[in-house]
Amino acid sequence: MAESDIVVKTQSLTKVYRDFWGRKKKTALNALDLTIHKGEIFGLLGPNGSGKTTTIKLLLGLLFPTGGDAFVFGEPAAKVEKNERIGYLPEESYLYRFLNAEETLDFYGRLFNIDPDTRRKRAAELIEMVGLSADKKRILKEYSKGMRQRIGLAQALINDPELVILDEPTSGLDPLGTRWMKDLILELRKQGKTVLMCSHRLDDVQDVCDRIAILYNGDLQTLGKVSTLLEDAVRLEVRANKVKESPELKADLEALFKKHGGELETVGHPTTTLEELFLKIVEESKARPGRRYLPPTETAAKQ
Amino acid sequence: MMSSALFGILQLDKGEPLGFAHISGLAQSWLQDAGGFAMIGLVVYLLYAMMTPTDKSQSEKIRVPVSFFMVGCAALAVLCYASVGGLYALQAAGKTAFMGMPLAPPPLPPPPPGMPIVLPPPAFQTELIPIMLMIAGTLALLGIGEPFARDMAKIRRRNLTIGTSGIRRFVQSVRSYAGDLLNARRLMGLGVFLGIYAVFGLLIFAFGSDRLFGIYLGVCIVGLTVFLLATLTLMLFEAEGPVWAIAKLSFKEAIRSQLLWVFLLIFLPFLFPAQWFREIKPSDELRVTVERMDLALTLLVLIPALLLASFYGIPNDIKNLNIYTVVSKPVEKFEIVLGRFVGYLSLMTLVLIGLTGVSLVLIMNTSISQRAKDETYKARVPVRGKLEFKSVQAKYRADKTEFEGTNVGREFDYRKYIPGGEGAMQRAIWKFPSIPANMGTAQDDRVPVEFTFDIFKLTKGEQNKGAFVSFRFVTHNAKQEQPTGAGTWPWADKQREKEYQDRKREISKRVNIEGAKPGTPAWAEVNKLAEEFGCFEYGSKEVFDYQVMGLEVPAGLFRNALQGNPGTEKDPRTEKDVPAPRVSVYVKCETPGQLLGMAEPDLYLLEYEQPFTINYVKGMVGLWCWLCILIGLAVACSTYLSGVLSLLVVVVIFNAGFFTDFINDLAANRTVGGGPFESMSRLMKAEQPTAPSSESAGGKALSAADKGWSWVVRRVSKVVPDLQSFDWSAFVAEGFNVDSQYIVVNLLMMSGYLLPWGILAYYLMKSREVAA
Repeated sequence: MAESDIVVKTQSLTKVYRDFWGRKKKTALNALDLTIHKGEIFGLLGPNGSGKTTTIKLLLGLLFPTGGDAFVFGEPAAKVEKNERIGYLPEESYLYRFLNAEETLDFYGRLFNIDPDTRRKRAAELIEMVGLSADKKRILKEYSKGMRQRIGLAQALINDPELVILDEPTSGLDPLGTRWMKDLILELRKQGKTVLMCSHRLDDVQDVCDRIAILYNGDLQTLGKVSTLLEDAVRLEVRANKVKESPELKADLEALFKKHGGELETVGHPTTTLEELFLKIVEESKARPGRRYLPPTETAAKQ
Repeated sequence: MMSSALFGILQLDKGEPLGFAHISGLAQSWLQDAGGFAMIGLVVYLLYAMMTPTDKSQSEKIRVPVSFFMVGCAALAVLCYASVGGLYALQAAGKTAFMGMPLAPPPLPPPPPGMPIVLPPPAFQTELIPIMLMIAGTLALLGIGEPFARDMAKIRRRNLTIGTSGIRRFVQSVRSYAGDLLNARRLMGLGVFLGIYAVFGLLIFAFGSDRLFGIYLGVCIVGLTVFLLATLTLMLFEAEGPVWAIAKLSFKEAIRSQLLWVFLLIFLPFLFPAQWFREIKPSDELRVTVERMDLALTLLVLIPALLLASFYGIPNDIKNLNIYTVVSKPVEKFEIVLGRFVGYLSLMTLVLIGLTGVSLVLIMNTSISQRAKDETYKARVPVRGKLEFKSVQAKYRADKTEFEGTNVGREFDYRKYIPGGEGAMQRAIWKFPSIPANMGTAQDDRVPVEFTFDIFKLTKGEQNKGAFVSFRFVTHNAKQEQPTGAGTWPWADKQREKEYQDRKREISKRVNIEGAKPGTPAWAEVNKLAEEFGCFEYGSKEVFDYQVMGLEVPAGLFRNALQGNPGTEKDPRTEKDVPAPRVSVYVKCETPGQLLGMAEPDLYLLEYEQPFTINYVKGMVGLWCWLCILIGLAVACSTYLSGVLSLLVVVVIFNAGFFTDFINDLAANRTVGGGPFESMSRLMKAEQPTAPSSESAGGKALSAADKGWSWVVRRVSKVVPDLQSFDWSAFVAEGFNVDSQYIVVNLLMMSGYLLPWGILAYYLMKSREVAA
């Protein structure tokens, strides 16, 4: 990849938290080397306290590195001007609760020096996009957690950023909201934006990220493409349609795999994810109000 | 600096307030003091930069910049401070000059016995040590201020576009904002409110109370003015740039937090005139009302400002983590500080304007007695002179010393006294080295002179009877001579004195000189006499204790005074040549058994009078300066401290500002009973504070520790603002004009005080990890 395609780069980035007397309290991040390219969705994974949010804060200049350096768009992280191309959604939506949605977006738009007409137009679009048109005059104090997360995302996009940094973007969202957020992240990639997100909800990361880095205790454990990291190269999965499970089928398959030097592990019906099931139920309930959802097994039995 | 006495006379016990003449001295002392702190800051910053890996990390290099200019300034400043150290060493060795240049200004002469220590007004000092300190301070300020100035220039570019594009953008913003602001719902709400208010007004009008209707109309005008100003302020905040956005945010936050409204509701009743609640002596009605309102306004404005700026704002942003979403935008951290300062200051300024307006409406619509109006419902523009006490020449006095006024043993020895009696030779003499040219052409050919004296009675006297006082006004053309014995004060030119007496006698045959009133033929004769001889006498004026009284002096006297050059004379206190007076006023107490007490501001020529209302508003500028200092301090402290801590720090520093006299005494190690170490020893030994200090080794050690302590206090005292120099309430309450130059100097002093705090806030905010 060309150097110009690099959006985020860290070199031995280290952060040590110290107490008032300068004594070392914790190494939050230890010599992190990372490169994020233009147009990709990059996920930072790890348990609580692994250094994900610290990395983001260092990139944004909210924290100062103890060692190493971080660059965004080729500029040192301490340079304020680089923030013009960044949109940031914090873990919780830390917005001013006495402002309403319109005022919030107007305020953040003004921090970017966006001219009033563009600001107003963009705010209206974003409010529409995050589904808060009906509540745009209510102050944020009255919003639910999910609504605050939505308006938080809108403020992160007010400057039409090239790099969107999302810290736990699905935190506080219901499954519908989570799906909406994930679709939006994918949409941002389609628009050519780079997304850096961190989460400990593994399914979210798996669903949208191109590459991930797993941190543990401040150390980078692994880094790579999601598909490559998740691939189990020594096992093979075969799926078939319109075939009924029977002892004969199982015996035939055992013989077939034996012939190719392997062995059959299991034969059974695949399961869907709980998220997909939930979404399906909601979709069907919307389409046919008043009718109870029937699982596929019952539907098959009735037929 | 100035206060209102118990009996309602303006006291200037530390001399006149600072004016334009003191600016150079103030600037020099500011460069020395602020420069000293800047040097400490510069050293700390450079040490911090050395410990930061700026060579390995580009981010750190941006965050902790060190330029060649900065290092150069630091090196030169250190060199200058080292040479100051050398000069001090020379001084300690007994030298007074270096290479022909004096090292330091001569020490102040001790005050006359019983007189308080009055520090001289700031003046530019040309001696070697003060000049070197000033240069060193300037270099340190330049060094520490370089990154600040560079970032301020960047912030200026981002927040103030001067030019057509900036104006176009601003107009576009205002248009867009006004569209939102004046929507149908809001206009309807405003209409309903005004309708209700109008109905209320009609009811008051029908009730027939003119005064109540006056208050109603006044409050309406004040309300509309504040509303318009608030709208204009909010429109101003529509200018491009984060500072304005954050200022507007602070404004809205404060309004919506309800803190302000709660305060206004609780304390608003305190704004009502004092006589609505209790009976006050007629002549004191206005001054008590004004002082009370001033206190109410001070509390109403300063307390919410303190709470807003210390608790809300930056500490709240950090506590609630709102700052993450602001700092992650292209915003310099100091823009947040500026935005908060501008936002809170604008809001509280509007509150101050509103409350000033309401209080003025209440004062103007309150029934005030004629005596109060005569004394204080005005803004006198006085011409003040220098006061001296004289009697017969020292060599003819029993104690062979010059008479310097009698101390009657009052606890507060602000005034000095002259004994009364027909043959008394003691005089209080006011000397006016310069007088305004328009006094010669004063209206009705008269110049008013006002005075207020204290009468100290040695005998019981009669009830409701004052002391009789005679006045002699002379110009430099009718010089008086200090007498050698009993009799009267003679003229220097005896022949001229005889001519004057002869002419006076001749005129007296035709008209009554003593009873001459302006506008009468007798007054024209008196004027002619005064203009020809430069002398006017007024005998036996009955004077009452602490009552503002006046005399009319013929303008002819001033026409005479304005002719010729009075030359110079020796100042008895400093032994320096000073301009000789054009006009002198000799005051003599005629009543035996009475002593007449006077201080310099007690007698003045009245140049003209201004309206009370304008003076009241001018007086509020001082309170506005307090407001700026308080908000500036609170915002600066909140860049590093939590809400509670910054509140405490500001309260301590601000309150200390009311005790600068005591702090100065501590700094100069001149408190009675010694400094803290000696006082502690006296406490433990149960010694009187006035007992002489012990000469033992222990006593000397305590004395040395106190000297060290006073050195520390001298340095730290510069952090404390001299709040008393911004307080004009006594001027307004006593009916004296607050001169525009005092206000300009106040604004300069306030800016000078806040600038170092601004630089400190810049570095604190820049070095703070907001997410740590």
